Amino acid sequence: MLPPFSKKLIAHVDMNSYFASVEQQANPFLRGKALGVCSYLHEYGCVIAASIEAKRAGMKVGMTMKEARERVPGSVFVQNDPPKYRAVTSRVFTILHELTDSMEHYSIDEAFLDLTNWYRDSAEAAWALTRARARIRDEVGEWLRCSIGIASTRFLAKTASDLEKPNGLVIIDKYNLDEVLAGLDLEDVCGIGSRIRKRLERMGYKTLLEVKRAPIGNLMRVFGKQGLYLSCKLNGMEFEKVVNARSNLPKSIGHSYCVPDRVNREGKIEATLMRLTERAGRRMRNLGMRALQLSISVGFRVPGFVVPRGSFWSPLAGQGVFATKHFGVPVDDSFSLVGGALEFLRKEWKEELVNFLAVTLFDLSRPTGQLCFLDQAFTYPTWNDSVNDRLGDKRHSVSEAMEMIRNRYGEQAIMFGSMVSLSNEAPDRIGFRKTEGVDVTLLQ
Amino acid sequence: MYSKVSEPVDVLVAFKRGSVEPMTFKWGKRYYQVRKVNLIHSERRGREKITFFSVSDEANAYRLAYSSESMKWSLEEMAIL
Repeated sequence: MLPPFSKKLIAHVDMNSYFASVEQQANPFLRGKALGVCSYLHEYGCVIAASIEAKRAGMKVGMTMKEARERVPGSVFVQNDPPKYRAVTSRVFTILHELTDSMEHYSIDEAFLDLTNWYRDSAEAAWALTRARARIRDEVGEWLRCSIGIASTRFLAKTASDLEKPNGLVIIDKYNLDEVLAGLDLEDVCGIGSRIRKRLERMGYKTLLEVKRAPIGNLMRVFGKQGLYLSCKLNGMEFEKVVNARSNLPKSIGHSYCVPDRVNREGKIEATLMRLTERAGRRMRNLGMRALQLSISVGFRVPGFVVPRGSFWSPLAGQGVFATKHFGVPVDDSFSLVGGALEFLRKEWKEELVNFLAVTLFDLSRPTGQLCFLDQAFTYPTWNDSVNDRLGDKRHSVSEAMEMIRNRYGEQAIMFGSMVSLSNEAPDRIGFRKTEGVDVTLLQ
Repeated sequence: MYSKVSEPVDVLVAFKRGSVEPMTFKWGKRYYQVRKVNLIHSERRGREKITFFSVSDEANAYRLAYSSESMKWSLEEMAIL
């Protein structure tokens, strides 16, 4: 039996043009200008955030800096500054945490708040959130704007917050749900992209309201379980809970880097891969987790290769290799992780020009304390094939000691020898869904 | 856009409303009057905590940094438009 229309009170807070707004907050001379925040200040560096003024002029996230400059002449570009965004997010989330005990850090600039039983109705919640928004403006920065959506489910709250930007506040309840859905395009909601749209249109559904009223059986025949979820979401039924910040652990942790020619020329491919692996490993250890598997992608530069127009761009679209390593037992020490990554690179890489490197640690788990009787047989022989159990213990101890040194003296205080010559390669990057490093101070 | 400076500066600060606000800083032989503190954020480098103050005067924006370990101020960046 399907659940009834949800009676929960969920809010979604979405910071508008976040990275660009933070930059405009820090530098008032950038306010009112078309500003693009780029991953790298290079003509092929990608715009990861555009200011409201830039978006109005036609700049889009994902454009290269060159494209953005052609589209919006006179626009200004700055390089992203991850610690700044994390610090501002920490302060914004700290304010929002005062509204409820159940808040999900959905991304670096978005949060879901379960306000059920904290406020009587959506009007009271809207009043509290408007006050919180005023506090963000007064205490964090007057240029920071956020859109607020209030509804009975996460999906509808997110849809509501997308309706009015910037600085909007929209409430969706069972009385205006049909009216709101009737005014939206199929792709205006989270979870429907161009391919699902085509399939829905083939079924004869042109609007979200038609999809909402469609028999569940029809949707399930085409989309399987996802069809049921889609119908439930559009009908205001709750099946996704707000996941509390502390229990929301990542499923994978990774780092990637678009490798410039300089790194190839200077022979620093291995060192760059080591740094990426070390960064991912460090983030994983900070969360107290271990990885059972590691995957690596290496993209090769193919002279003259042009990604076909309209196709999905991927760094591996030219030519590349991708492989996954299974460690046998969950590992977290630097030597196993870096050793596993390098072993793969040395096997697959034949000195081609590399343009992309990525490392992902997945199959993450917390240490259980369970002793492994088959440790000897299953321990992945990494750093050195002659590794034995005793060396494995030492490896772990050395890794822990390195961790303590880094905690005390900083990331660059101790590193593998080959990484010494690396200057600014593979720097810290901000990911929209990465919320580690965002620390909130909760009221006692 | 931003030009890296990383030079030590002398800073006069005020303790206002429970926080620190740079009022004036001396870089080279010139004094710069801070008109507004736009953003404050911090970053950890090991145990050292660096607090960054994004400030502006009538003409430019600057980023001042205070290190909790060395207790020294520096001018990290200056915005060039």
